[in-house]
Amino acid sequence: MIRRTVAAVGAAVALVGLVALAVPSVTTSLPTDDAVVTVLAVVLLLGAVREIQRRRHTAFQYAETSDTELTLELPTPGDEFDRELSKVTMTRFNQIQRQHIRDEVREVAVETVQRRERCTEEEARELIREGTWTDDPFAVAFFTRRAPRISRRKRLRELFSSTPPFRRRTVAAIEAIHRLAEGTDE
Amino acid sequence: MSDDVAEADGSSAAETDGSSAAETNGSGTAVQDGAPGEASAVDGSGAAELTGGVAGVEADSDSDAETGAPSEGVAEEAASATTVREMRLTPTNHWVGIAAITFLTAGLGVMTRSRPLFLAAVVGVGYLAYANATEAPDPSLAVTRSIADPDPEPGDRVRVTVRVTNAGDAILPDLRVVEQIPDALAVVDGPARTATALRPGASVTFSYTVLARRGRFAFEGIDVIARNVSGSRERVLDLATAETTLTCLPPLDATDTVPLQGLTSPYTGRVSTDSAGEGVEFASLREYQHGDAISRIDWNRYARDGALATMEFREERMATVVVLVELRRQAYLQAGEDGPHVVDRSIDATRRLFNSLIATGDRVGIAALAAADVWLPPGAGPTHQAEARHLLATHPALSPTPPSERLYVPGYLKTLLSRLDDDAQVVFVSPVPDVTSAYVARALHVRDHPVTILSPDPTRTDTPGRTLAAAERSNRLASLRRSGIRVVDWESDERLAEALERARRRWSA
Repeated sequence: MIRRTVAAVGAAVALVGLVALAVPSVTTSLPTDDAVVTVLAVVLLLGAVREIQRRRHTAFQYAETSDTELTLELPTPGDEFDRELSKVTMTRFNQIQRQHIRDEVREVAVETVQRRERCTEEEARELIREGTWTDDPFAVAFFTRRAPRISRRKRLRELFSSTPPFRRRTVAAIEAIHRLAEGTDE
Repeated sequence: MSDDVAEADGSSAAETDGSSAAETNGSGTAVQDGAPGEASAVDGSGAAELTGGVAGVEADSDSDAETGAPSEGVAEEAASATTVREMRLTPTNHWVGIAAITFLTAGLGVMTRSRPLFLAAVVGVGYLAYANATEAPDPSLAVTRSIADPDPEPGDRVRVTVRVTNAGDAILPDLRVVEQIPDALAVVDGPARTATALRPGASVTFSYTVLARRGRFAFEGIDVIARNVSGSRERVLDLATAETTLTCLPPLDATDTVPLQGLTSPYTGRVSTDSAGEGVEFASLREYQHGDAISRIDWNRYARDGALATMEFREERMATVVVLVELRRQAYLQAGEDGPHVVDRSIDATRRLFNSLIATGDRVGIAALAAADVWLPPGAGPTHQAEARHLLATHPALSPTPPSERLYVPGYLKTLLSRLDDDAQVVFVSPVPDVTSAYVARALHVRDHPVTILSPDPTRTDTPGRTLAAAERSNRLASLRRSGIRVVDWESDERLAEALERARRRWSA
């Protein structure tokens, strides 16, 4: 509605302008002294600034079309865990998140040890707690939460590695579990 | 041979598509840069050329005997109207700020008392008028879709041609059409979309090729974006079109013999039992009794010590098998980004198992562990086989897209158990994605329906999480084996027959 009114006013003013071309006397009553003209110029330039600002603060928005040509992607088991693990960084320490990851891996480890060692759940948990279930020092350290028993050189190398120690231990533990589950550890 | 033709066709369609899109884009930008007054004229002729061009191409392809027929038929029949499912009208903000030119030139003109500069503001006014004078048109479109082969074999490349006609009175200066393809179908050739300008009565045709897979798929809509001449406003529509379906029935192929467990019916079949009688596999020797068939007398023994003995064989009986395929949402998995679709493999395996069991004379039924009711009672014969083929291909619950409903497992088990015959054994086709699947297998097994699990492997070991999931599944299967359930672990790069053979060897060892 406002647009229409403004457009009508604009059209009327334009008409007056056209008439003024033929009959210049129509506009003689309008004030033309310097001050008024300068104020008018400033108003117009402010209008320009406002428009430029409006452009700067308005984003283009075009409708997005869907990727209809692609088929539906389905998850692979374990993708959720990978997402969680990728959130683990060296700089941000989140104890709850790490504990969650550790618990999840431990459950699988217990099952696997139980299956391979043919022992009870309690015995399996004990083996994991003691760290005697695998030869991999990093995998052991993942559950015992103590420093891995490795040579000083390796420790130094670990210190300068770009992967967070927690992630490396998680990966080591998972690989040890996988070897055990597949029976390639014996 | 026919494949070659289809392929050649597909690529020519893609070329046509590409060039027409380029033409359209070209004219589109020309319109935006050019004088506003002439825009519609330029557009109109552009559209005319474009449709003319496409029609010419179509006429060319009509000479092709195979694909020509359907499109000719289409040309004769009236294009079907569309109904609007959803519409949204939005500004694109494309010309926002253009008034700055007007204000700036006018302001500077006044400031410097320069008449030419002041008059130059008129150019900006022109642009403003051009940007805001028109509204995005409300397109009235008619859509005709033709599928070159509505009943393809799995793996066939099927060409789909869509013709969009401007059935309204308004010119559509900037129209973008995107086909709504069923999620499970992949486009292998050509984009399934087009962009053009259409004057009233004109039409545009685009085509693309999809890879057919098992199932029944409905094409029933298009997404449309219509903009005004200046592109300042756009209308986004979701249009429902007449439904066109593609039904892909997999072939009647079977696999090698399926190893079954010892629970059988009283009828003669092929499953060896422990009871001695007539059959082919030697079981034992016993003293000759009057009336035994001469062919069953062990003549070697008679030659050696003159005693008559009768050979006994394992009796072979018919089995009743229900193939239970897991279709819970959790089973919709994929082994890696480019790996096979697990449910597709499951259903494919179900079909092969079914056909090979039917061929060996067993009674076979089909059930699905899904919220929707899928049940084909055990039976035999060609009619039963045809019924199963149809069910496996077209039942909506067996679609390659995950279901939205959840399944109440105890209730489902109750229904299934009431349906199973006393002598029925179950072949459970499932990736065993969680403990629920294992629970279902155990529940059936302890109720005297021996369970054999055929488990398509959805796991990979390329990332830590996936490796962990693989170990978890391996443990789950091992625990099932310990409870006496036979498990065939079917790896993703393995043929079904290989997996079954591997399992049979292990079981007989």
